[in-house]
Parts: sequence; C-alpha cells; structure tokens
Amino acid sequence: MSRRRSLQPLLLLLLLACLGCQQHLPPDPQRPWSPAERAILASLTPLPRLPPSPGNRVAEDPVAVNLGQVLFFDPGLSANGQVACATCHRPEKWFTDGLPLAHGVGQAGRNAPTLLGSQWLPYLFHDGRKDSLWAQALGPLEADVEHGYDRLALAHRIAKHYRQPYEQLFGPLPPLDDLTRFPPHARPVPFASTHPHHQAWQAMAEADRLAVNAIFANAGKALEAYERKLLPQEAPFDRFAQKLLAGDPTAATAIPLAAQRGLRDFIGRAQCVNCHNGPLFTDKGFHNLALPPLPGQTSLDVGRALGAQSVKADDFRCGSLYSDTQRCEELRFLNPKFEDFMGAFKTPSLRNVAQTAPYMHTGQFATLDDVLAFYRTLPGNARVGHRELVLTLLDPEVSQADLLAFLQTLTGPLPEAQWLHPPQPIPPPDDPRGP
Amino acid sequence: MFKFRLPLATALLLAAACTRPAPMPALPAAEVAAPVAAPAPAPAPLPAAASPAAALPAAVTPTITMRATGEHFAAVWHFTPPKVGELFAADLTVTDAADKPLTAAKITVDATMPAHGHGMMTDPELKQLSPSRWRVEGMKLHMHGSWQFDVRVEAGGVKERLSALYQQAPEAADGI
Ligand code: HEC
Ligand code: HEC
Repeated sequence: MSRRRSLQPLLLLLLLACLGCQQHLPPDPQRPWSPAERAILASLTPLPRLPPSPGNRVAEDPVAVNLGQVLFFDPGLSANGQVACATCHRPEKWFTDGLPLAHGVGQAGRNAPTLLGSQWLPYLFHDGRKDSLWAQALGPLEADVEHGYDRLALAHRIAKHYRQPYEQLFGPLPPLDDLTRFPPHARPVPFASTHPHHQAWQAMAEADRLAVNAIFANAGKALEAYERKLLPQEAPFDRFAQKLLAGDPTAATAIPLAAQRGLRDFIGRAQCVNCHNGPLFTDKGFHNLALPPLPGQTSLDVGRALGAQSVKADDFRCGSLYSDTQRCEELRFLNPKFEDFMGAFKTPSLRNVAQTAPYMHTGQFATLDDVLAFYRTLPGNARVGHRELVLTLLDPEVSQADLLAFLQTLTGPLPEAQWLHPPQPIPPPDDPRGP
Repeated sequence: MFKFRLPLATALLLAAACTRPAPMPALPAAEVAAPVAAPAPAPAPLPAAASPAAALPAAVTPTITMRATGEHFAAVWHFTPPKVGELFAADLTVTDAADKPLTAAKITVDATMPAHGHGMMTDPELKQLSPSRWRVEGMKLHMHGSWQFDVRVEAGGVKERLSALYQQAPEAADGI
C-alpha cells in the first residue's frame, strides 16, 4: 500500500473545490444543524448493540459470567497474592486506575485503559496485539509486572476453588493433582530459556501442555463473559443528539450551550471525528500522534508495528487451537506492514473519557485540558515513525473550553451495581511466592 | 512506469460527491432529501455514482457502481456501500478501454485517502472469477471522506492505473 503524496494539480483542484463545499461553519448554537452535521450526529448515537464473540462459546453463559467475575476480583491469581484485574481496572474509576503507568507486581510500561467499550474492539491493548477479550486476559496474568502468575498455578487454583463451575462449563479437568505431570508453577517464558518456570514447562509432556493451555484459555473465556457486562451507558450527549435528530425542541437544553458548540467543532473544523468516529468515538484503528514521552521515559515504542505482527502469531488468536471459530476475517486481511503502523497506538473510545485520567498510552497527559493543548500546538516530532498527516493543528478559533464541555457530556453512569464488586467471597491465595 | 491520468469518470464522480448530501439512513426521508447549496451538475452519462443516491428510500440497500476509464483499460467497481470501519467485498471488472475482455491481465487494487496521505489498514485479497472479473475481499475504509480506489492493470505489456473516487459516508459499523 503505497503513499500518494504527489497529486496531479487537477485532482488537487477538484479536491479543494470539494472541501470548499463542505466548509466548516462557525459554531453558532442557534444555527440549525446542517444535513451533513446531522448525518455525522446520527453516526455517533445510539450506543450499538453488543457484537457476538464467536471465538468464545461461553460468552453469554451466566455460569461463565459468574466465574469470570470472581476471577476478575481474585488477587489469588498473582505471584504475590495481591494483584487482581480489579487492581488496575478499578470499577469505581470506570475500570481504570488513575495512574500514568499501571502498577501490579511491578511497574507496567503503559497506561491501563477502561474496559467499557472494549467489547467492540477488533484489537485489544494500545498496540492491538490481541484480537479478542478472552485472549487479551491471558496477557496480564503472566506478565511479570502485572499478575506475575503462571498458567500451571492458575490451573491448580481453578481445580482447588472453582472446579464445579469450571467443569460445568468446560468438562472435566485433567488429573492436576499429579504434580509430576502438572508442576505447581510453569509457563513458557519468552526469551528466558533458563527461567525455572520455562524449564518446568519444557519438561512437561506435549499433551499436558496443551491441556493446560486449554484451561488457561477457558479462564480467559470466563473473564470475557464477565467483561461483556461492562458496557458504556447512555450519556447526556446521546440524549441531546437523539432529541435533536427527532426534532424535539427540548434538545436545546439537554446539554450546555458550550458543549453544543464543542460538539459542532468536534465533528467540524476541529476534525476530531476523523479518528474518534462511530458511537464509541473510535475508528478502532491506530495512529501516530507523535506524542511527547512521559517525563523520564527514554525507551522507544513502535506500537502497532509490532502489535500487528504479534497478533498474527499469537497462540490464542482467532482460529487457533483454543478458539471456538475459524472465521477470522479481521486477522486474515490485517496488513502488518501498513506503513503508518510505525509508532501508532489505538484510538481510544472517548466515552466516559472525563473519568479516565490520565490520558494516552503512557498517561503522559494528566488532564483533558493537557490533551487539548497538545492537539492545539502539536509540539515536537515523532520519536518513532512520523506524525500522521490527518492530524493538523487545531483551528485557533476553536474554543478549548467548548471542546472540554462537549467531552464531559460523554460520561454515562457506571454499569449496573451488581458488576462492580466480587459476586461472592474470594478464596484466600494458595501459595504466594512473593514479588 | 505508471502514467497517472485522471479519467473523466473520476472528475464527474468527484463533482457528484461534492454536491450530494451524504446518505443519512437514520434520518426521516424528508431530511434526507433536503436540498444542498450547490445545484448538482448534469448527471454523469456513465453508469457511475460516487455515493448511494441520497433520495433512495432507506429500506433499499443501494449498490455502488463506479467506473474508471483510462487510455488502455477500464475498471468497474461494484459493491454495497460499507459502513466506516467495516470489512467489505467488491466485484471488479477490468476490460480494455472499449469494454472488451482482456487475456492474462494482472491486477492489484488499493484504496487511499489522498487528502490524508494514507491507505487502508488491511491487505485485500483478489480472487479471479473469469478473465475480466475479480472478487476483492478484505477492503476496509476506516474514516469517512474521500477515498481513491486504484486498480493497477498490466496486460499485453501495458501498465496503467485506473482511479475512481468514492465518498465514504460517516455511518459507522456497529459490530465487528
Ligand atoms: C498491573 C495492572 C493491570 C492488571 C493487573 C491488569 N491489567 Fe488490563 N491493562 C493494563 C494495562 C497497562 C493495559 C494496556 C497495556 C498495553 O496496551 O500494552 C491493559 C489493557 C487491558 C485491556 C485492553 C483494553 C483495550 O482498550 O485495549 C483489557 C480488556 C484488560 N486490560 C483486561 C484485564 C483483565 C481481564 C485483567 C485480569 C486478568 C487485567 N486486565 C489485569 C493494566 C492491568
Ligand atoms: C489522527 C487521528 C486522531 C485525531 C484527528 C484526533 N485523535 Fe484523539 N486520539 C487519537 C489516538 C490514536 C489517541 C491515543 C494516542 C496514544 O495513546 O498514543 C487519541 C487520544 C485522545 C484522547 C485521550 C483518550 C485517552 O483515554 O487516553 C482524547 C481526550 C482525544 N484523543 C481527543 C481528541 C480530540 C478532542 C480531537 C480533536 C481536536 C482528537 N482527539 C483528534 C487519534 C486522533
């Protein structure tokens, strides 16, 4: 896919003429919304229905939802008995942690995103290196700095505390009490062949390794079944846009005037909707904004360029041995060599964004004002790749306060209370090994 | 070397894209048909449309037929308008400029946004159905706005790029 920078003058002229006829009008809230603006508004609301998860046959099973919810809050699934998914995805913070870089057993290299809206993303993580929620969940469990756990310990913990729901969902567990076949701790450790967990993993029989992988994947599937309950809820913006589109005059007071002006700019001259599009306010794609690094961070991150390769090779990807589907269109057509993937990160959903500070993949901006100030000035150059051409300096006439007021109308309530805490008491950790 | 010639069809498509309102399936019909500022130019004589005709009733799923004619070859794209970010497939017919079938043509396809300097995040696959017909799978337009669809044709020792512009409406895909 090659880039076309040089255009024939004629084509350019025509393009300019085209842009001219969709000119961005000044944001006068009294001015009626134009057909083009209404078309864009209609593309941003209502919230879409939950898509199926064909790779996970227990995605809708209430037993899986319950098991997943317990696992999500279970700090026993960590090397030190203290880290659960909920440590970094805190329900009361819209499933984020408020930190620039997440902190588990150690310090993670990236910011913890919200889980609300992740159900629609074809690619998970800031670099999209996983292609389903269930496969995603397996990453943090074994990441040294997150749970620092291992799939054998997980299998033993499931056998000890969660056998009944597990076997009801997935059938009988293998004879895990045979510790010569199933050691207490083992996992493949990439690039660390001398790691004791890696050696224990290598010593296992192939068939036993596959059986443990299946347990690991099934735990991910239960976690996904629960995560599918963590949906973004209707926000003031939705009520405004739906009333407006229905011709209801009370639309005018549904959100503040400043927010209405900000919305006009967001979909108009500020051009945010180029990337933050659709009802989740994300194109689900990846872009290089050439962000400044978090102070003190010197490592370079190629982002999607690596993520796209990883997801195509992931053991738990769509169509893998552990996936419940072989229809994997997204992955099949993914072009890992797409040149703009270098240094690119996923466009986050902007739903509930006012509740999920700090911002960007390493939390480099503490507030939404900092984010908007960045879009206004676009300081510096990309450290990896180049800043994407779509991103142009914010029109100086756009009011930052208006944009901010609009972003605040994207906050809806938290998901139903029953999903915000463990559904039943969590069994104590089995065998904490210390950090 | 590719010669880049802007086919007449492209120019017309572009003009049409400018003056037609984007399709607005979620709006009542009266709104959809609302007139826009500039009067549309005389309809293109070619069987070409850059965006689904806005006045169509919402129930009908329109299909797009886009033609790009070059000096040597011609390409006709045929597809159901996709939503933003949705994988879609298209039928593609490539002939010589007089609509005669080609023998042993090699083609590649691509879609880019000239105004933004980027292409698609996907790598479409081509399946040849007959000497002049292909099925293109795995296209994805991740932004609304103007996309240039290119077909590079090589046949009988001649190479040419055929371009047509397509105006992607903002309606987003709701699932994956
Ligand atoms: C140590 C903190 C930490 C823990 C514990 C943790 N996460 Fe995360 N989570 C993160 C960070 C950081 C990212 C982004 C990492 C990246 O992009 O490389 C993330 C990303 C995600 C995403 C992707 C969201 C998106 O928009 O792409 C999901 C889903 C998720 N975590 C679910 C879970 C689940 C389920 C668990 C428990 C099995 C878990 N997390 C445990 C910090 C954590
Ligand atoms: C070129 C595509 C693009 C455009 C245009 C764009 N954004 Fe973004 N936006 C992104 C990406 C990609 C990120 C995440 C970058 C990262 O983490 O490295 C992001 C992040 C954000 C965030 C932080 C969200 C979070 O949870 O961390 C906010 C807020 C935001 N954008 C608002 C806006 C506004 C307002 C505009 C218009 C002025 C805008 N964006 C224009 C692609 C874009």
